[in-house]
Amino acid sequence: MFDWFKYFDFPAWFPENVSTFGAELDGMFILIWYICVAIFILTYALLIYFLIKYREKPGVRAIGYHGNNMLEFTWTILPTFLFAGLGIYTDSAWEKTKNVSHIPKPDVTIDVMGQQFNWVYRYPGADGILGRRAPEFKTNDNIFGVDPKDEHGKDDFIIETEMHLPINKNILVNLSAKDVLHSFFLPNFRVKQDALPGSWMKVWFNGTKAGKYEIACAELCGASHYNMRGLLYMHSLDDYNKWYDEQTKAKSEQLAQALGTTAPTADTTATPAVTAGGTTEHGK
Amino acid sequence: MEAIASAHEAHHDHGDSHAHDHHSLSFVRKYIFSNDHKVIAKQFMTTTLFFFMVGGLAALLVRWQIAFPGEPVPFLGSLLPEAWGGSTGAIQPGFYSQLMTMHGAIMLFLVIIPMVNGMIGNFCIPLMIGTDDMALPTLNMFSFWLNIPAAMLLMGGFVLESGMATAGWTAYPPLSAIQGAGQTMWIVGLFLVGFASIMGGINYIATVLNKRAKGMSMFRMPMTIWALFITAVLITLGTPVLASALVMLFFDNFLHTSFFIPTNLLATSALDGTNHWSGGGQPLLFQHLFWFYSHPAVYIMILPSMGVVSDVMATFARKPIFGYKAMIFAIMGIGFLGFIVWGHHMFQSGMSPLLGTTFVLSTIVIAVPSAIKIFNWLGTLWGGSIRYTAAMMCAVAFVSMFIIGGLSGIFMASAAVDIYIHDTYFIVAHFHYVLFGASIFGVFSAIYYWFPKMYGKMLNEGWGRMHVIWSFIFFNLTFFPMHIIGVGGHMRRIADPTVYDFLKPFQGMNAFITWSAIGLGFTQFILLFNIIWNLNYGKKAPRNPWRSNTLEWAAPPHPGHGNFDTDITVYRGPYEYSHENRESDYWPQWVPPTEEEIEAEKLNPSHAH
Amino acid sequence: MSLALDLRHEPVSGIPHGKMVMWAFLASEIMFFSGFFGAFTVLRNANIDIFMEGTTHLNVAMATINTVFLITSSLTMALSILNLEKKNTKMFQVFMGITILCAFGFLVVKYFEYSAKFEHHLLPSKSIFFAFYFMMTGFHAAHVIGGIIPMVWMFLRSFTKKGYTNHVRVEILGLYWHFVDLVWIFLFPALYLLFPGAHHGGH
Ligand code: HEM
Ligand SMILES: [Cu+2]
Ligand SMILES: [Cu+2]
Repeated sequence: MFDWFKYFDFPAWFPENVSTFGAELDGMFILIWYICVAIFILTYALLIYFLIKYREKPGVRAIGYHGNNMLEFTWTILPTFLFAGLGIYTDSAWEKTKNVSHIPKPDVTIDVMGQQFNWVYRYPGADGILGRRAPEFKTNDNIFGVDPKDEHGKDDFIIETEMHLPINKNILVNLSAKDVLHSFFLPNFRVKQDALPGSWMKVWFNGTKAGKYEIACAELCGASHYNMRGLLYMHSLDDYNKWYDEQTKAKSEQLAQALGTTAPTADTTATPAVTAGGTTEHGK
Repeated sequence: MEAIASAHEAHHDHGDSHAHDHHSLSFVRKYIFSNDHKVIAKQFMTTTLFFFMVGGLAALLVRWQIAFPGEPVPFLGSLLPEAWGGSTGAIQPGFYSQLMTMHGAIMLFLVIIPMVNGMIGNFCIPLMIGTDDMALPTLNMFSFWLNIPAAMLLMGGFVLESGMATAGWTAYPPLSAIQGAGQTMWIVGLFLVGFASIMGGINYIATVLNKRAKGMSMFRMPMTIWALFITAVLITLGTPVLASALVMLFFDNFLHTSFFIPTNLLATSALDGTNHWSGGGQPLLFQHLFWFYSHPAVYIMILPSMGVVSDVMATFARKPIFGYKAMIFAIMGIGFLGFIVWGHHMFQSGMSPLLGTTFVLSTIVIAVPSAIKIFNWLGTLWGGSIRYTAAMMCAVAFVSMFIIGGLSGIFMASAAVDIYIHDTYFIVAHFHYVLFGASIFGVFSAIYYWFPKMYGKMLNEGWGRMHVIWSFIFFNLTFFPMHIIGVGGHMRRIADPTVYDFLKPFQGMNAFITWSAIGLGFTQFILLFNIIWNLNYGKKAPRNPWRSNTLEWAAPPHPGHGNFDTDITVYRGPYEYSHENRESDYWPQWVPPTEEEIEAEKLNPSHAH
Repeated sequence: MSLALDLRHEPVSGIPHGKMVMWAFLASEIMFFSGFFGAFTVLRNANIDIFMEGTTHLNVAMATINTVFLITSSLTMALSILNLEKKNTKMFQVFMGITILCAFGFLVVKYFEYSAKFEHHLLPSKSIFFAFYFMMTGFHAAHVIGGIIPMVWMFLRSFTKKGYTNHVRVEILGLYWHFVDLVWIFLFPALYLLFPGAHHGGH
């Protein structure tokens, strides 16, 4: 009978949370939700009570009352403390998720670029180091603007739409956009950050569960904005390293082909992408 | 209070504004290019109601596409050209963006702002402060007529192959800077709308400061006038900043400058296919300028409605407004603080997180005056004798919806919580609760309340109540579920949510929302019919049908040029309802006290001033 | 039609309506130019080299002449108001005439300045500096034109039989004109004089 009540249970509508800080953010939403429900019930109860009790009745006259300063004072101070408390309480989570100086030591660092209309990812390649980039190198064939002279950049591999990452590792994403604004939205990770052409934003998260998740664009970027869907595969560490090796191998073959020689077979197996201990082979 | 002496001389220099003989005015001067504030108010009412329908139609098309992506639009689909409707009459993604942009821009800039300021402001200010017209009536006329070419430009892309603007009402560059002629025209059109709005605003300020009736001190002005006055200040100080941002955007779009274009942007201009921007600009700069205007703008959109609702509530609860001064200070606080909270729209934009923290704090502070107003409205109802006219029901709807809209604001005011809900339907729900649920219901309230004075005819109360009740129901059915899909992560401004697996479960709710929206749209025809029918066949309105205190009710119904048929002096504040020393439950501002009343007041002083 | 209302107490504030509207309008104008100056400050700090290079292309001599023109015209504008108030039509005409000449002089110099830029292909799209240069001086010049039109109208009216006596209107125009002058006083150093050598930010 009270089945339709479920529509008003907002916290239940969140998509599954699979990031380390997601639960804290959801918890804040839920706290505010309960406070709001309480305020809602209080004000609506008063409103409805007054509307019924003080409807026009023959012979009953309204009170010519102009107000009360003590009451005004009270209902100024109470909300101030309540709202200020909320603001201060939620600030630590804000700092933790967004403040660059609070980003934990990354295990994996990649570049993500939004463009009309898909997401492009750049991994650091076999050497685990992303090549240097600068705006002046940006062209349509080199949207990340990688310095062609930087050796670390040669082995970086670029993939589109589908992104692969290990679980239980601190992921650092350098985020930018090629053409217009986009917004990197990982609903299940409670991550959202606008991507700005011309600057690189740092976004971090740490996924806790393997699986396939969706990446969305949350900032209007043109007619096909709705279609700017990406996929994020979260792997166990072993699977991730396996996938990573395949990519580096493919890349070195490609490089070799471009040079007209055969791929050197020995050195691609040199370093695993991420070690179990979580050392930062890829970080910078 | 009356600064007669010093003002006496200066007056003669401006006497010409109301000296001309209105009997000899031609039809054109009387009804089209009229200087009369009431005619201008009616012109605003007509055009805004028209644009309300246009914007509403755009919204329904948008909703149709979201709920039933790719399905032909019923009835209208076959009329759409190939570029917009494809081969089947289903809305194409490009057309979706145009509709979505037009809906937002029309509703905000051609409906709500001109409704609450152009319509309510023009009609109420001179009447409620007891004067004949605006300070500069001709300027007032221009502030209406400039809207027409401006609106045509704003929607100008309609006649172009390349279509209308598509960058959303926020028009963030670089997207808006790289788009084609429709966007260029939109920018120019919006600039002109802003200019018209400023011309109105400065006139309102001067009118309120200079043209109040004898005895009408600032603190005897009704809340509507206070709200309109503060709004006019916000328009005067806020809109030019938007104008400057639009100028820079126009330069970027049309002349390939780079105010908002970073170095080496990999995009081409849809205007001429080139990429000639030198770079060096910052996209975020636009957002700062835009929201510096557009947060105060949301108060430009709602403050006048708040004023109206306060007056309507006092009238129909037969009670003084609770905490008159507190209400005024709350409006002033909102007006001032409104200029320092813009960053709360930019928490996820890439702005420094430390700035984010400051904007959280200022946003929290601005929520307080909003709360104060709600408590004061509740206090006004307390101990009242409430008559449920259509206008009163709109006012109650306003308060109840504003509570919900304000509460959802608290979620987003916290930057951390905003991460997830930013740019989702949760935001869409929030601002429709405050803009439709509150502002528009306030406008409805104003129409029901002042129509008898405006046209000299009564509206049909029964139809009015039907309209309010069904609007209220359909409004909530439409917009409440948007909170839910917003919490589910549903992004705003997407043409086809079924692309995403995680949004598929919400498709049923999307359909529900769309059907409710269609119901909400059709309900508005009751209002339209009520107006058109009663213009012709309505009962003649008495002078003061609601037994109100404020000065407009001293004027004859459907007042002519010059407004009043007697001289006006104000003796008291606007909220002397159910005064303890009086038999009658109201005490109009313009009625001189009798000897006995003066005596009674001496013996038993009330709180009134 | 005789008005039922007795409006002799208006304007309540003692400031004529037109002047009050003009003050409000100027507040609005200040915010409008503040938008430009705000953007200028931000983008100048971010592109200090480009601004340093850009400034060298500007003609400080011409701008100085223009500054003199505008300041003079502000002064003569004030004198013309004074004389109109004293009903001294001749002197009003003289001073208004000088004001108009100065304003035109400003525009002529501006014309030469702009054409020199165009000749060297220094267009608004050339660099962020020239974007600001053309936009800000362009809008300022538009304001000058906006001032000239009523000035010329009043000036010519004063030669008709009826003459021109509405000194409040001239005063209002004067307020506007001083504002136009003031904007230039900020523009001139910002664009022409503010050598980045003195600046220690940058990168
Ligand atoms: C209690 C007071 C309020 C608070 C705390 C508040 C807070 C906010 C915040 C933080 C946002 C940005 C959300 C985001 O984009 O992530 C927002 C958006 C918005 N608010 Fe409010 N708000 C309040 C009242 C109002 C009122 C009274 C109005 C209008 C009459 C309004 C209209 C809007 C609109 C139109 C947007 C969305 C703009 C857009 O992105 O298109 N808000 N509000
Ligand atoms: Cu997008
Ligand atoms: Cu805001």
